Amino acid sequence: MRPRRTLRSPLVVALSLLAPLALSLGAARAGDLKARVTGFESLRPAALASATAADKKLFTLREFDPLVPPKYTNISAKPDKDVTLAIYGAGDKSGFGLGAVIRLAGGRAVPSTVVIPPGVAVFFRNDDPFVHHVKGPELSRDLRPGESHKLEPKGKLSEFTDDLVPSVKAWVVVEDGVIANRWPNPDGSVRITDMADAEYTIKAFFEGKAKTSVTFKVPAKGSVDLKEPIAVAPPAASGK
Amino acid sequence: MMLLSRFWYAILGVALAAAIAFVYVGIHQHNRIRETDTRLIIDHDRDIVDWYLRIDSRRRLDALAIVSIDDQVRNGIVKANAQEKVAHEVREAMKKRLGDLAQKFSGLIKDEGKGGAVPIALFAVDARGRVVSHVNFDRAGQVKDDTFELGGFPVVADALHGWLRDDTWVFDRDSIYRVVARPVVAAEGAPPAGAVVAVRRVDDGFAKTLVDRTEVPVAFYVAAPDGDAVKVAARAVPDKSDVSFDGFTIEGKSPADDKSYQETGSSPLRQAGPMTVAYSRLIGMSWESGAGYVVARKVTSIADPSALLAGADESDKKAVPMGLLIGIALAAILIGIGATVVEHGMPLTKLSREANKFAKGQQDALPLAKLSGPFRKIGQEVNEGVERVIAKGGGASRKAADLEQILGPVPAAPQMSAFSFGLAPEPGPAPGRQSGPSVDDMLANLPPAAGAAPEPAKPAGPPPKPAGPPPKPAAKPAAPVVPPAPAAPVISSLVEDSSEAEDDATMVQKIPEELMAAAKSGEVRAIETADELVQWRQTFDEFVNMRQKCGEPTTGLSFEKFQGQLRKNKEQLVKQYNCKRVKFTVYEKDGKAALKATPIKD
Repeated sequence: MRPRRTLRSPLVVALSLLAPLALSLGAARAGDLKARVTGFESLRPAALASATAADKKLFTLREFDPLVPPKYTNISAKPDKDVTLAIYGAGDKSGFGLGAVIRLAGGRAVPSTVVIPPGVAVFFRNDDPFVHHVKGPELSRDLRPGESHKLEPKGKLSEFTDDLVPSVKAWVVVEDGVIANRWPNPDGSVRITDMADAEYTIKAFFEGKAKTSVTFKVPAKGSVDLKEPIAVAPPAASGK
Repeated sequence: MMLLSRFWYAILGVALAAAIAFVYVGIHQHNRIRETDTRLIIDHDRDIVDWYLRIDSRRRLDALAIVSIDDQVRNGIVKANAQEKVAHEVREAMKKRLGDLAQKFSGLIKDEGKGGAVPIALFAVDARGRVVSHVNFDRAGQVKDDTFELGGFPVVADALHGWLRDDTWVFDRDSIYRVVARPVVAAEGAPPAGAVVAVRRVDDGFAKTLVDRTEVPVAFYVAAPDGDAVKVAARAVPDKSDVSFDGFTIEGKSPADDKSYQETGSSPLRQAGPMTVAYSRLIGMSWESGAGYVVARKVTSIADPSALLAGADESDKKAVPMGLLIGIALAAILIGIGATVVEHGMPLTKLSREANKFAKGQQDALPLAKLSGPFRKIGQEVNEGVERVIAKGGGASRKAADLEQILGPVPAAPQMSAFSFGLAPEPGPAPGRQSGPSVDDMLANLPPAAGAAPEPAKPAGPPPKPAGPPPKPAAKPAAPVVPPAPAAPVISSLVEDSSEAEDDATMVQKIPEELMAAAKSGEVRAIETADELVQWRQTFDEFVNMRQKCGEPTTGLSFEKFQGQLRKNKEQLVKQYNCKRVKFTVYEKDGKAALKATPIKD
């Protein structure tokens, strides 16, 4: 039986979260990156499967509000939670600090995907007021409100679910060369500051899978504004 | 004999047994129908609860509109959307407003909970899924406002995309929440600014409200997929229900182990102690989380007839047709009494009347013909007893020749059989005739050997003596001592002329004048013993044949006893009438074999 490693101290968790910010992507801090993620409206998280549930086992009543235009009724991914930008380039894994954190909050995993280099730990932390039971490779345990669990994934791709809250789904991708993870803003815009002058590649992940990638070079001075959006999927046609 | 009353007793016995049989059949039929009906009721109960939950969701969604269109709520959500971190002031202002709305919401759907506590928890969620503010949430102490989100739940995510929806949550493997959510629209043509969510914990109060409106005993449970036990979250039964969920447990994961339950969400009917139950999965996220509800009914069966009255109420008792039952009982009583009077009372009265006459000397014996059934037997035995007393006292017996004295032990035979031989007294005199004397009487009444005119028979008296010297022996043997066939009627008529002639007794014919004269003249010849035995043997054979002809039993008859009795009778008659011989002849009387004795003095 693998011993559980639990981090209960909020201080430790906070440090692990702040570590990527404290540590720059590169040794020499230079410019910023401006970009935009598009196509997330077409992505439908598996955790929100009720949007396409045909067997009607997930609700007794579901109807759209006539005050809401149909174009906004499309159940889609939240870019700030469901789309993970994995950055490859100059630097090392020190940018992850103590490790990557997946919060269990609001009945889901935030973010739903983390991409880490080998040797970096993942923390599952329960921010909900009820018990989660996280289940995945080498993991099956209850997480009470406020509890965390540290895990070092062994495989390339690990999927985690929750027996008690089916809407919780998380993916951990282990890849070489990843120096940091970033997430777009709710509207899809991306702004990454204090990047060292070097060439980088950004891969956009959704539910553990890379949807697209873009390579760019940050100059010694100034910012990079990617003209081409980071398109994770074709634009959505209509709401469902 | 006493057939009517005995038959009535048999009818009553059979009727009682049939009534008990009907009771058992009725009980079994009741139990069988009750079980079938209970199964149908449970199926309907399941549908009723399902529809109640659907309608309840609709009512809650409709009531939630007062929250989604509330200006203060809407403005607070819009402000929160613009803030990286929701301001404390926004949260507090909205919390107060949500409290008021929760009160109003509760009143709208008439779900006021127990103890005055509002059971409705309200949440305002911004477009990012963050909880801007909330009230009445029983788990609020386990979460920080800054990290409290609900946007990941499908029902909230749908609301944030413009959908009205319901859901059922299960927390901590033991708590169930009914959830409805709807979007908050801040501007026309714009995406939802956020959503409002109403949560109602499924507790005993929720179950009680459901039961009050449906009369269905119901319990909500959680059979968590990773749990090892089923936990009952809420339960309630109607006030007058015989179902009780006290101590109700669901063993293991029995609902979840059922294939039908897993696939369709409904289990087959099962037995849980005295109750028949059916499990159903709750629609929503709870479908996967293992939550469900169970409806139960108790099959009220009647164990045995003694439980019939115990379970009857006043209306049941009033349904009994008392008039009809009383009529049946009275009719049965009257029939029984009538049968008893006819078969017991009246014959007994008749016996009493005849015995009274007998005691007053109005008659010499009990008239058996007037008696019936066992009373005739009693009368017969009384008569025989009287005869024996008379005989012991030296009086003249009125008794006819005792068959057994003649024939020895006679096989038992039913009364009224032909065992009378014409010797036993008839049940009653023939029409126009009186009861005649017995053989002894007739023997006693025979005229003296001198050939005196016939006299009425006397009950007793010394035998007549010959009036003159013995007759001379005839020159040659006398004519046959046995009169020719025509002679018998003649002799019989002599006897019958007597007012006390008795048909039933062994007939002793009057001695013909010529025979008496011959006797007086001394023309007497002795009968050889051998010849007499031959004749008696012939008489015995005729007697046996006659009995067989008349259908009377012949077992037990032996010639030795027969001839012994004939000899005694002969000696008695010879002594009494001073005759030489006695001729016995066989004849049929009233379908029975009978013997006739004729003294011969030659």
